[in-house]
Amino acid sequence: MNEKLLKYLDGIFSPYEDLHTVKELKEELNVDLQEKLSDFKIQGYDDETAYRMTIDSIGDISEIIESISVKTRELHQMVSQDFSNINLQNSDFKGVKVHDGKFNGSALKESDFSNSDLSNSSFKGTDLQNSDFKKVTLHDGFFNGRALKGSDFSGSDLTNTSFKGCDLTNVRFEGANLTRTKLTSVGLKNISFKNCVLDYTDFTYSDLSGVCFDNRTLIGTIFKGTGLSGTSFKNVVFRNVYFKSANVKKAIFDGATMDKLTYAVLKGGKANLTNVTVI
Amino acid sequence: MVDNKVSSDLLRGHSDTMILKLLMSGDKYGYEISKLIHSNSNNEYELKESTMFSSLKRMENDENVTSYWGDETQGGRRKYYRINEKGKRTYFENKENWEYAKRILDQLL
Repeated sequence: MNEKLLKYLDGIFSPYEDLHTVKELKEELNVDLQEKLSDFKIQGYDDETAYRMTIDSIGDISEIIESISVKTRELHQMVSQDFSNINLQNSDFKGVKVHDGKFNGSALKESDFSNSDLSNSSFKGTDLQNSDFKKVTLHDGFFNGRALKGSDFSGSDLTNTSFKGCDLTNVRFEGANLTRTKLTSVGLKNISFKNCVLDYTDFTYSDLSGVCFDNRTLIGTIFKGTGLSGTSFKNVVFRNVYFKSANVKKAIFDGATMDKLTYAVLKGGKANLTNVTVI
Repeated sequence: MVDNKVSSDLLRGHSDTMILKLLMSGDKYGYEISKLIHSNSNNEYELKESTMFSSLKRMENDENVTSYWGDETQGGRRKYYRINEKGKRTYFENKENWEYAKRILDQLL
């Protein structure tokens, strides 16, 4: 048994280890390649050359992984599974339940997660462009630093989910529950939050220019350091909303109602507060 | 050795059929298959492990072949592949399709 070869296989398979079929495949491949390696040596190649030739004959490992790659039906009801670093483009995850799932580093471009329950799942470094997350439950999820361009989260429950630094161009959040959701350091220009729950939502350092919050009640929402150029808060009721260091000068507060603290901070930021009622 | 990308792709497209043909004459394990393909092509064609295994796994899913672990005592255990009735039908179909395509191509090229 050549340990170096075994280590090499451990390395290339390490992202997929958790899948039983992959473990078996690795065992199979190891036995085959060990035999190939010793054949090369019998043919007179030195250790290093024989090893090199064996490794080179493997080809592209993702080709095999794709052929055995997790089928949707096997995904149902999986708890605490790790789908990291897998290529799952265009996958159909409709209605699946994956608690504590890890999708870190996977390519999930254009996948359909509608109606699924992904509580506590993590999507760090995942490519999710144009994915469909309609009506998804994603308590405590993580999407840090991800490309989510064009994804659809309408009607989903994103309580406590973090979208720190994600690319959210053309993302849809209509009707989503964004309680305590962290939409920090993201570009949200002109995005619609129609019918969203925005209690304690954290928008720290995000650009909310042109966003319309008219006629809403905002409780504990955090707008710290946000860009609010042309953002409209017409007739909004504010309770304990936090505007520290926000660029409020060009925001519209016509007909808004707010508590004294919110008012004071806004006034300090030179916001236009004519037509505002203080409670 | 086939180095040309086009001919290599063309050959790879027939991996399933090559493997099925070898399994027609008896059960074999992975390395045995790749060795036979290498030698039967007079050392001109080498099937990459990843291509061979993805082909085997796909055919297993499609129930063209079944696999079982051998009972080797020396070294690691090997996984053997056996051709199913469906696999035999697939082989003859593919072979027929190829003969047909070859006839047309011979006329056209």
